[in-house]
Amino acid sequence: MATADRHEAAVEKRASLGGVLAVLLFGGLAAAAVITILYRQNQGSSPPAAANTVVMAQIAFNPKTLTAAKGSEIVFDNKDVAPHNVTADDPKIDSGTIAPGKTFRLVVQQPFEYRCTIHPGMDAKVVLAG
Amino acid sequence: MINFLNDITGGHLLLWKVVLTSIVFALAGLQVAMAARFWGGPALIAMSPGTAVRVHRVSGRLALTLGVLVALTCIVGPAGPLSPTRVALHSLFGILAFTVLAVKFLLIKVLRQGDSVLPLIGSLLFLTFAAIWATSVADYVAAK
Repeated sequence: MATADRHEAAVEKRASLGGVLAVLLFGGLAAAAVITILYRQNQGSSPPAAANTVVMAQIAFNPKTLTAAKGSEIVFDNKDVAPHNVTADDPKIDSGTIAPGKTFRLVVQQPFEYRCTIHPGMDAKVVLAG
Repeated sequence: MINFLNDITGGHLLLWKVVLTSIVFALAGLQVAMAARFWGGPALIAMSPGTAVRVHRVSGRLALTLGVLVALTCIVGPAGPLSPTRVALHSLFGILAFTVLAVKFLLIKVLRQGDSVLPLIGSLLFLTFAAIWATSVADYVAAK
């Protein structure tokens, strides 16, 4: 009887494989999130943009300052998971909501600063070349 | 990866995450109610302690499965920016949630001890999920 009790107690105290896997999964996710954030902070969060293109990714415009020739077309490319917009003080520059995967095109006539009104702190500017 | 996630959700990845996060938050509330039942706390739902244990296990597994799914889409997708403050807090609470979960499973399934702190851990988890919900879903709805 005493042996059976000791066996039961030992089983009760033994770590379960599922428990170990759960600890590894949840701990791994927490660690992966920290590593991902640190890595992307060091790498720069957005993919490189092509000429006359502003990429929206990870809640930022890239580049922060785009130099374009007067009369040229700028493409705002939303590669994020969130909807964004391009809004300037000039009411003529207002993209409306740009859904993920969609673009907004604008022929630039003057330098301007713009922002996404959905995401505070997400801003950038366009300057004219020359 | 972002493009792939946007494609399979028809460009509505955030909406999917909002729905799943809301389900996880609701299940976290259910978890607290069930735990209160079998820990001798106030009976928020009329149910026997034995049934409460079973519901706690099933809803917990469902919540964790959905939570892991949402977390993975965050990590391979938008994770990285620490601005604005809401995004930084969302990341912080997400990391905290899975750290607390790892500690909880370490205590109850590996070390087989620390039962007395489980109500504290459960409450902390619920509040963390509430914070995750508030810094993502609430903002999404408000922006709409």
